Amino acid sequence: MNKDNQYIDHLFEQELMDFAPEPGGDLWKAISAKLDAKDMAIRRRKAIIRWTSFSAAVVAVAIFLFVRSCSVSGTDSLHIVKKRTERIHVGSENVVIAARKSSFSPQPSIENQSPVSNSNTIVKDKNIVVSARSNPSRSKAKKSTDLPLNAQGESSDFSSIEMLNRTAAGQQRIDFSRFAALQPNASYEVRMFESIPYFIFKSQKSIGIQAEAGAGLMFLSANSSPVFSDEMPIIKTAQPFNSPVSDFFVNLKFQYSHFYGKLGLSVSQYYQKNSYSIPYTTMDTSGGYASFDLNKYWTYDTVGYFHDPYDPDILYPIVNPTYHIDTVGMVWNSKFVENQNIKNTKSSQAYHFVEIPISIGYQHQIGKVGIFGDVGLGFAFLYKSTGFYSDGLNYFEITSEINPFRKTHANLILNAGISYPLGNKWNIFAQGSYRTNISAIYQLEQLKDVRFNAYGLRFGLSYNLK
Amino acid sequence: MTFDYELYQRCLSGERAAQEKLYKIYAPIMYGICLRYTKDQDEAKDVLQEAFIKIFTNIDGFRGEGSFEGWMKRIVINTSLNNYYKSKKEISDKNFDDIRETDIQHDEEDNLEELRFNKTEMLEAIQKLPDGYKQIFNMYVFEKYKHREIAELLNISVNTSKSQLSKARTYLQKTLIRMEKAKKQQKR
Repeated sequence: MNKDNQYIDHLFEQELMDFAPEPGGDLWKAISAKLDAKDMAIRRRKAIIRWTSFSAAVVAVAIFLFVRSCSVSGTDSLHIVKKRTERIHVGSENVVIAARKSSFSPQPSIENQSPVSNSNTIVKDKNIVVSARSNPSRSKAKKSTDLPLNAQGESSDFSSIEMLNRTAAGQQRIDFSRFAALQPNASYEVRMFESIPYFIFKSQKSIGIQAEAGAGLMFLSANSSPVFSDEMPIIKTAQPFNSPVSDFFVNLKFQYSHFYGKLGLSVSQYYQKNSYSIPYTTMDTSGGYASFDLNKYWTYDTVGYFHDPYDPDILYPIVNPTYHIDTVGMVWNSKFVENQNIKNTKSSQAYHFVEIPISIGYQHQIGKVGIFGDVGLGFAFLYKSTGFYSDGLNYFEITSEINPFRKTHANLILNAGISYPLGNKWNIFAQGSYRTNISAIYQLEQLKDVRFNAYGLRFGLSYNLK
Repeated sequence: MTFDYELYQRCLSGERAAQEKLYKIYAPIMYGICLRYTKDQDEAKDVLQEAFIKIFTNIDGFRGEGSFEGWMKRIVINTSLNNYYKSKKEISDKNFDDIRETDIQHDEEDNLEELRFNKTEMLEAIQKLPDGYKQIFNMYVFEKYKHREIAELLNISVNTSKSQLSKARTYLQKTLIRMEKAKKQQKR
């Protein structure tokens, strides 16, 4: 490495190795926004997995309960389908031996049977095996090709066997029940049939339709405290947070066996009055002042070289550093003052939602008392907002157009309760209810992760329409 | 710079305020690296942004082997190199030999050791280096990579790495001398 090269490397390394300029203020915002988008994508993926697993579990439980609740019949019935057909020809010396599977194994026992004692005998049974052989003295392999059914010893695959006698006059079915004998010099067609068991689920209970109506009182909580914003009023969710929600509902309930589906309409109202103080910080960076500073730097003069004691090929420069103070530059010093402030706010808010719940459930009867549970989705619409929000500087009138919530959102609904009959037609019921947002409820982007959970009790009456 | 374990743990849990603090601490150093590997500030900011997103999304990949700052620097350098790969779809020795020898003839009239330059001028000189020269010079001088490592990382031969480093030095020398001449002419 020559002297110039070393000087260039040293010069740049010395000046730029710790060079650390500020990249500018907006870059963090861009990074933060991209990280938010990535987090959102991950959360969305996790939510999809969670909901898919949950749905699969619900469906599995529903199928299990459905099968359990039904009477199963038809397991002894058989659907008969023809699986295969074999043609055999019985010559003058040939015999046909039929034996039960139990007596068929091991194979040599069949071979050793006297063709006379078993000749022309066929037994019909579910476990029948049929053996046909052209000559008792021939090999086992030959026999196998005549009727593979016999050779494989797997006759249990076939539920019944039918044999047809083909003569010049036509085709005649041989009746096994009468132990029909096979005639020499005749052709037969052996049809083997396979059984397929089938199931019929019969509901133990009749189909019913009920109309139900009721009212409930619930409480709201949120999964996190939203940040406060000057742009839009929001419900206070600092813990403890228990905002009352009243709701009224009507449902149509379709019952099949122990299962039911519900479709309905509910109207709910959120109320809240707040008065609280929010600390906030302002930063004053206006103004500033100029100052002059000396330009200070080092220079390095190479005054000689020395070889690396461990590697003589490497040459190091011997430098003589010189400190310089030679120019004067102006520096602008920004002013930076932090001010702590407190903002007092007041708000009175009421939000009215209409929700269409769709749910499926299961009801178990213990005597007269019915115990039920259901899960479903609710599609909610914000139809009315009233109130105000004031923070001393700003005053917002909360209207149907100006409010913090989205026009629509979706909820997961879980209900569990008991019902009791009041005569033939009427029932009374009480249920615990839980509802949580599964889509964003706030309009503001920074509040998109806030979820409201509502839980409480609902009471109502149902009427058997059918 | 002292390693703030608590801040690292908070970043690991995805706390945005902690990530911002970490960014404010390390962004200037990392930006300095990005500026050396790119041709202008806009490109450097793009690389820095991408590098910090990689750092925050893969922060659990830091195993405590070596310094945290060193780990971050490696990500920034790799991101800078990836950015270079993207702009040059195909890296080959030929790309590195595209610069004509006449462009980097050494001007014998001036002696560089007699001249003085500030950081901005020297950064400008590096940014003016043709792609390829810039990467090799940075990797050799600042990151202390050996020619064999540079050759592997840039998919070039060791000899190409050596010759391009030599050309980069000559190019820088000439650029600095030209800048000095321009300054003198402005003063007149």
